[in-house]
Amino acid sequence: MNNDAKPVGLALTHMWVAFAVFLLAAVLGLYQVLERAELIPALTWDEGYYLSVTAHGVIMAFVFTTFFIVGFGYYTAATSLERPVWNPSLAWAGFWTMMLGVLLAVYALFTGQATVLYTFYPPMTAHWTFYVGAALLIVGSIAWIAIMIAMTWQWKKDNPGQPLPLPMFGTTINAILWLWTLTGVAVEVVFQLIPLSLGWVDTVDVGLARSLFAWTLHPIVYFWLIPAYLAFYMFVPKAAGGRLFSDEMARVAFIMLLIFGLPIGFHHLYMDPFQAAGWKLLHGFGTFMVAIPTLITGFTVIASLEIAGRLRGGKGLFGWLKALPWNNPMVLAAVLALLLLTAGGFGGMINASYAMNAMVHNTAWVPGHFHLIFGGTTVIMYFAIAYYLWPSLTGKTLYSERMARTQLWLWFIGILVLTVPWHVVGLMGQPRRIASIPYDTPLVQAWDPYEYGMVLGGVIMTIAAVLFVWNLFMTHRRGTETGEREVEYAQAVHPVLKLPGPLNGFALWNWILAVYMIVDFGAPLLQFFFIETFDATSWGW
Amino acid sequence: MEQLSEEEQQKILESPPKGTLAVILVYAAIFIVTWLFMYFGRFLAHGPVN
Amino acid sequence: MIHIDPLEKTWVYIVGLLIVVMLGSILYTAFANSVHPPSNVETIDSASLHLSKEFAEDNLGVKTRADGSVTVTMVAARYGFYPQHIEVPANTPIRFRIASLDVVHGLHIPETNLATMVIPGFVSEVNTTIPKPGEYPLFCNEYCGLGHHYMWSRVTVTPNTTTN
Repeated sequence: MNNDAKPVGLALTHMWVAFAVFLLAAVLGLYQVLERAELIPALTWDEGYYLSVTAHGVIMAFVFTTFFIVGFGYYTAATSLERPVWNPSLAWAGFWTMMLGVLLAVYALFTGQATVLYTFYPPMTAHWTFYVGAALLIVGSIAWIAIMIAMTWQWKKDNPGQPLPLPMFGTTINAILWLWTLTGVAVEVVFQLIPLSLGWVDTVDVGLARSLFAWTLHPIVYFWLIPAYLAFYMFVPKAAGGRLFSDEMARVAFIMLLIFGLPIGFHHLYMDPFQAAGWKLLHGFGTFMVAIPTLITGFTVIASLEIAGRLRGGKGLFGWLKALPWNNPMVLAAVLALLLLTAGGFGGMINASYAMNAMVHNTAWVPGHFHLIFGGTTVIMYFAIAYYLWPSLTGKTLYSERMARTQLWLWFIGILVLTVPWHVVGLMGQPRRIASIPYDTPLVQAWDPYEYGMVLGGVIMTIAAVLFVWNLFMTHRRGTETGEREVEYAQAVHPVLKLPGPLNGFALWNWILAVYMIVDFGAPLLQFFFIETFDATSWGW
Repeated sequence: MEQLSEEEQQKILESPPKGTLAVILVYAAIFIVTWLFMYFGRFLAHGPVN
Repeated sequence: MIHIDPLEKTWVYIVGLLIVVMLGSILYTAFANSVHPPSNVETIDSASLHLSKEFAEDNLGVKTRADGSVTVTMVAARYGFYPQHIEVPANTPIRFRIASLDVVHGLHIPETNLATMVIPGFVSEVNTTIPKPGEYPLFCNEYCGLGHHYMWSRVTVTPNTTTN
């Protein structure tokens, strides 16, 4: 593919926004863990703590992720389909819309007018600029969705009967998933929170708002995770010197993530009083089903690594592990990410287990869990994707592969030092979202050593975050020019020459999903319009 | 590292991933034992609930 | 159809088995022992909570019923759970009912299954027993404002001398 046709500007701009805000949010995270441990009295500041938690959460969960995924998506689409991005003006319009949204939200946040946390549950009400900013961020990303779908549709029209390349199949699944996902929070923000914050309405139906947010809150994690799985499938086998064990099973996994990742949000509402047990159980069933594509992905990726290890001379049942090219950042990242996925995935199943959720809900176990699975598995793969693509994006070799390996190990160790104690104090009953620990009860003294351990984890991770950004920045400034711009995609052991329609298209899955969504959300959402609810007025914090 | 012949390479590509199954079965065993302990040993031991 | 490696197929079956064991445990305890998360859907006007019969101040607290079980009626409001100290017997069925005066709260007594969200406009009800006597905190565990980390109350669980 002609180097000029590669969307380098789009990809780099989105990714630099993502990594710049990531670094800022990482520093905020360090401040939070230090403040909560109460080691430095001068840092104690309730308003500052909760503002930081809001900013850190909003940036990491919504801004960093969306910009990275959108930029990565444009580059993957163009290079895997070998055609330029469709309608670049729309792509840039989407970028600027998202930026405007971020600027508005940042204004509200850092002037202390939106200390409502990244979940922004009403009836606590932020300044209207916060919600309008959120809406613009969401709307801007729809440009990306349209472009991904358009490029796929055009490619299929130009290549009838041909299998859509796996990288684009997964990317398009993610775009479709994101469109379905964002609808819940978009409806909540546009029809409930913006009118409330502008004073157009006096009250808000809290149960409806939380149910709409729950619609988005689960599948958004798959929106974040699918790019990491894409790297597992399309980069890791190649980087390890092997082949992708199964192209078809990868497609099956992506399809299952779409179908079972969406209609399961009520596992975030197990402890809430406005949905009946039957609906919670139904969502719980789907939540167990969505474990399957992750467990399949684990097998397929590890099997790909086994092939690579054996091709490098590894023998016996486990010799292939040692034979892997551990000095390759993509391979190292994949193994570290998979290790974290074993623990993070298990924790997720505990959360999913219906009544057992009472043991962990809103305890410190919850942020421990999502920092492990997201900050761990997903973000490590984002680092790896950046290291892998930076030579293609800049035409230069990565500034330091050694620094990349060190950074990945530091992040891995830091995440464990941060999240293992977090899970433990959660099981001991520590609540989440607390600025300090003022409870005058003997139980909480046992928490102190874990808090201090977490500070160490935060410090290690902050160093790793700086090393990551530094390496990318220095590649621009000092990397050796190579002119090499190819993105190397993995080949399957059995290359697919022909695929059954459902593994090569999306219409069937969208219909199935529509029915499943109506079943899982129809009555539970409509009920708020039929039962007599007493809506709540706005509150500050 | 000795170079593998075409034939040996093909054999590796086609053979079943026994190492993977071994590793992942160990994980599955730890997974289910830990889950059962958490559910029956910890959660339900804290009392009935609805 | 599609080519699936026999070992990967074996793995998929094993995953299915794991899910059957876990969902089976959950469904069995749900239907045989009535183990559910608190899901009693009941609306109430939080703005006039103090005027309601059930959540009026003089009705809050612990009441013992004829069969020995207890009903606990509480209110969540920034930044406390009221009454701020309650006493209940161990190993006794507790019907715990709470409503919010203001915003969303969450509550949890560590080492017990007494946990629920408290949502303005709804009454939360949890039915549980606490196995071990002792002094417990009852924490707010959902962000409810800048004083969230100060929001907690005390629960004394007394030894149950009547039953074992």
